[in-house]
Amino acid sequence: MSQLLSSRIFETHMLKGIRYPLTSLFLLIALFLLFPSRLSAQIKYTIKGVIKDSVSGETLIRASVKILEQDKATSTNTYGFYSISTGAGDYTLQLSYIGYRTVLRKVSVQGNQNLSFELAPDKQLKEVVVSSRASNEQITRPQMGLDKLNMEGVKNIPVLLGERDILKTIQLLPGIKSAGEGNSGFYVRGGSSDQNLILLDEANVYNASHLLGFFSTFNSDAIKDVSVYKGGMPAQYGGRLASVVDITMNEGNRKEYTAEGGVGLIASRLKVEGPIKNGKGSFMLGGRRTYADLFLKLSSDTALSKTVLYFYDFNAKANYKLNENNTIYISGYFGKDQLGLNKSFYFNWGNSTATFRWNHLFSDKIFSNTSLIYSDYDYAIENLSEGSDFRVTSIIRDWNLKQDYQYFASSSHTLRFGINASHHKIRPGEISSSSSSDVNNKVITSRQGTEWAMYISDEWKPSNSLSLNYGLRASSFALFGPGTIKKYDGNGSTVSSKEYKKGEIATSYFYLEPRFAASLKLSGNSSVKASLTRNTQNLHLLSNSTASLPTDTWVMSSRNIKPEIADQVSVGYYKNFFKDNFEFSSELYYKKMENQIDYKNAANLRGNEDVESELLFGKGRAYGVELFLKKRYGKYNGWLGYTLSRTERSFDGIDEGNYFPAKQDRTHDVSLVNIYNLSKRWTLSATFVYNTGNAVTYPSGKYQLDGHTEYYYSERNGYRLPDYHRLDFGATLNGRSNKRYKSSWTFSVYNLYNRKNAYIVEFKDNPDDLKRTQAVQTSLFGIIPSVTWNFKY
Amino acid sequence: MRLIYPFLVLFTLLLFSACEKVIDIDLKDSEPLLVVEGVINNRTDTQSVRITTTLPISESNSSTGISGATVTVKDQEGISYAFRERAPGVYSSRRFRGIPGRTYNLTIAYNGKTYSAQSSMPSQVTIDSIGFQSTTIFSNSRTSLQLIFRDPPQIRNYYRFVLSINSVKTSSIFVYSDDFTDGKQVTRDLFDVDVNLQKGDKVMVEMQCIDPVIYRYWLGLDQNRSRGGASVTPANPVSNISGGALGYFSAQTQQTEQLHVPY
Repeated sequence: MSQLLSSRIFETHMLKGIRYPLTSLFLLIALFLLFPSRLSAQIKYTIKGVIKDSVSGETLIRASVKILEQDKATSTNTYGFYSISTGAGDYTLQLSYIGYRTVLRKVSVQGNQNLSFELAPDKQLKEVVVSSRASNEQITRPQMGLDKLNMEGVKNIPVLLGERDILKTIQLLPGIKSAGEGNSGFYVRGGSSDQNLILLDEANVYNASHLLGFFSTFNSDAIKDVSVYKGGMPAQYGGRLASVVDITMNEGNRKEYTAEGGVGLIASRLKVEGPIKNGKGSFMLGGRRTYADLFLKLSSDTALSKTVLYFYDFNAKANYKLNENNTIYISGYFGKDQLGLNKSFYFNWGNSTATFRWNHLFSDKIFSNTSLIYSDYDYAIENLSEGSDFRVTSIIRDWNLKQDYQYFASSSHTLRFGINASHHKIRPGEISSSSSSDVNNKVITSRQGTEWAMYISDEWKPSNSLSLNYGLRASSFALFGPGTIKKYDGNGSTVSSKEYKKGEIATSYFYLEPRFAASLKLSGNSSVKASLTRNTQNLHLLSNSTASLPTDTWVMSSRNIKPEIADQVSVGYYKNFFKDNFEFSSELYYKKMENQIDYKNAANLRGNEDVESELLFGKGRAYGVELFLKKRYGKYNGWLGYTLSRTERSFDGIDEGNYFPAKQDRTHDVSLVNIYNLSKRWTLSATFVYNTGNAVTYPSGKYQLDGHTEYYYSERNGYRLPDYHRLDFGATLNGRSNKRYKSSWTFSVYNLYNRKNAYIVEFKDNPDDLKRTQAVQTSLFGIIPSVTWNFKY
Repeated sequence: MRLIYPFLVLFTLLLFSACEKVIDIDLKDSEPLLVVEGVINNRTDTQSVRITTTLPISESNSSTGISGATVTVKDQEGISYAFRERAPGVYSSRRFRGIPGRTYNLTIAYNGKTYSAQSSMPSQVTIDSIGFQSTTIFSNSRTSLQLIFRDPPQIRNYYRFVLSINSVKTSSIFVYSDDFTDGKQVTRDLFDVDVNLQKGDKVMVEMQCIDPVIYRYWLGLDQNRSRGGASVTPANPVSNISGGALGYFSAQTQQTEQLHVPY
């Protein structure tokens, strides 16, 4: 942290580069802001306030606020706050939020007003899982490529082993693909899984999975809101190429104490929440633990009963309103996976995050948020075998300071601007051992770097039909000493090596990232949009295996690794019909990626001081079209998503630099989600997914070497696994209603028709005729039924 | 330091429901390529180079020895040894023994093309003792061969072990570097999930000290073998033979030890 603040040299360097473009943007926006106010002589007043849920008192994110007489609209921010300006007069204010009863309120505006509202959840209006908050938000706002999950709706979607999982649910959206069978890892528009920015209350989550990816680190009970940006990322986000998954934890019930939880086949959960000081604040505590190992303990087999295998996680959040203009929030997450084999081997890994936030209202129009964020991911491996014992530890740690402003300048301009400074420290590996071990103590040099970013954007409505969101993000990165930092040539040999002192800059990069989005309303219920976005990335995950492993190492941009860059353009057409009950969208995108990373043959990525010499650098491109048709309300709701896309990479060292299909490439991708509210007590659901098989490398020849059959490969990812498809079925039975107590049963069947989807295909000698070769397909999950019991007090 | 193994075990446990089936795949065949397997050792006076070609996957493995090639090995002193074809594709010289510390150059002329390679024989490190070790993972107990040797300090060493059971070579690839064990008395279990030793088995191990390029070559071959899903995109290991042939040319030290499984 001290380095972060003391790196003045760097700050000047950064400011020099950014001064010109950022100042000109400021001037431009100032110009826009001045003009309309000169034209209208009328005095403007501001109405501001907070919108909450009437039952729990939780603030509502992106609720719509509309002045009906003037067709002026705004929406609440992440903290439930809104601000809207208008002239004096009598108006009707309409407040709406999907799944809640719309409120109409007559207001007589004669001066600035503070109006907070509580909206009541509408039990009749069963809403779809993915939604834009206001009924026609997707038509009117310039934001593209954004999907939001409705946490109530997520409950109904059937999942593997009955563990509700937001990261698996978003994989059902067009443009988002699963990283593998039952896996919570995902690929967005041709990006790899480390190119997703996963934020939990603004804190970066480095490893979003438990148990090698089969479960995500997010306990759905503790989550209030999930927004996924596949493109057109607003200027306040940066640092990853492909997507932003912005997850907000529940703040806790402000009105009464409640407890809820569930008991499932592999895990149980519990959450308690309640008010602090008569609703001036609230708190939420949630926890979850799997218990596969408890069953192992029952085993009579001693080896099995001594096996440790579980994970747990905690979420906690509290907020307190100091006065009308100041609120503070504190939130945290802690999770750990534990694996131990028969007292010979222990392994644990996990994330922890902590966020402190202060909301401050400078005026009715200027909302400020200051955040101090801590995040880490670590793992430890302990091998106790006699004669070769060792312990390996590794950690990546972030400190992040963010200052964001939202300026509700006028009814046609909303500005956002801010700065962000973060410090990263990576200790790739420290090995220690006892004196009798054959393993030496070894420390791989730590790396530290800082990222600075400044951004400004303006959401501008020049007319009723046109909206623009234009902005600029200036981002920079610097790698610091202490330590020896090397530069390698293409063969992996060291060409220069320099010792850097503490705080001395080894290398730095600076980028300007334009963010532009526009929407043009064609009619009351249709629009076209376009967006242009640049993103850069300075933290890269080194992973050359098909499954994500907890030991995969993060590295920073350096003298060898250039920041990854992605430029994306997209255009789209949106239409709502049948009174906004149906929503259709189509988006077309093209994305160009630079400084992508792949690996040399037999690359040694673990415990290697010279790991950067094992990398190949190249480029990528991804393009496609996404179609999405959604039925939003009613007894039957759900959606159909289809993606036609191509994702390719090119590296000098692979296939002579020709473009080849990336592992994320799946030509066709279909998902169909159906939810049917059969009766007051029963809800049925079914999801179907289909996609082209993964691009894989198969041999084009074989030979004998030292008595074993080896294979010759001539084409990277030149083949496809068989097509993947699967049907899941779910049913939720709500217990009889009781004022104080609610319970429900969730039944689900994964892979209902027991499809044997290919996970891998291997070539082997035929055991019946060793001279012959056969292709053997391995499938993971067949039909898996599960049941979970949920309760709420 | 194969940290990957525990994951494989975990994968195996998680994927208890995994199932396998044989499928048909239509593969595009490449043109046949030359495959060279050349070894210079310090144990015998016979050195040999085997030259074969690749076959389409659909064909039955058959002898594809290439006859009529001219094979020469020259050491750093400038002494040249001609290799004679003893059987189709098998070329050997019975005139010399490899010497640790020397660099050898291989030249093959065939069909108007020349292939060449270079390899240096490292100093020899020998096995101190061998024995057996029983490992229990979940409920399975496996017996594996354990060996102990002393790694010389301050120099980079690369080892390969070849395991034979009852005179049949196993296909397991055991290659190690001294990245984490430099200068130590090293204990290695030659553990492979596919190998299960039984009482009375005659187990033979050959220890080879190999040069770094060859180490990397075997590591590359090893990575192509799928590991229960945690696999790397398969690719051809980087060969030290220039001219477009597959395979390797290795000047390596060799030592062989054997033992019967007592329990």
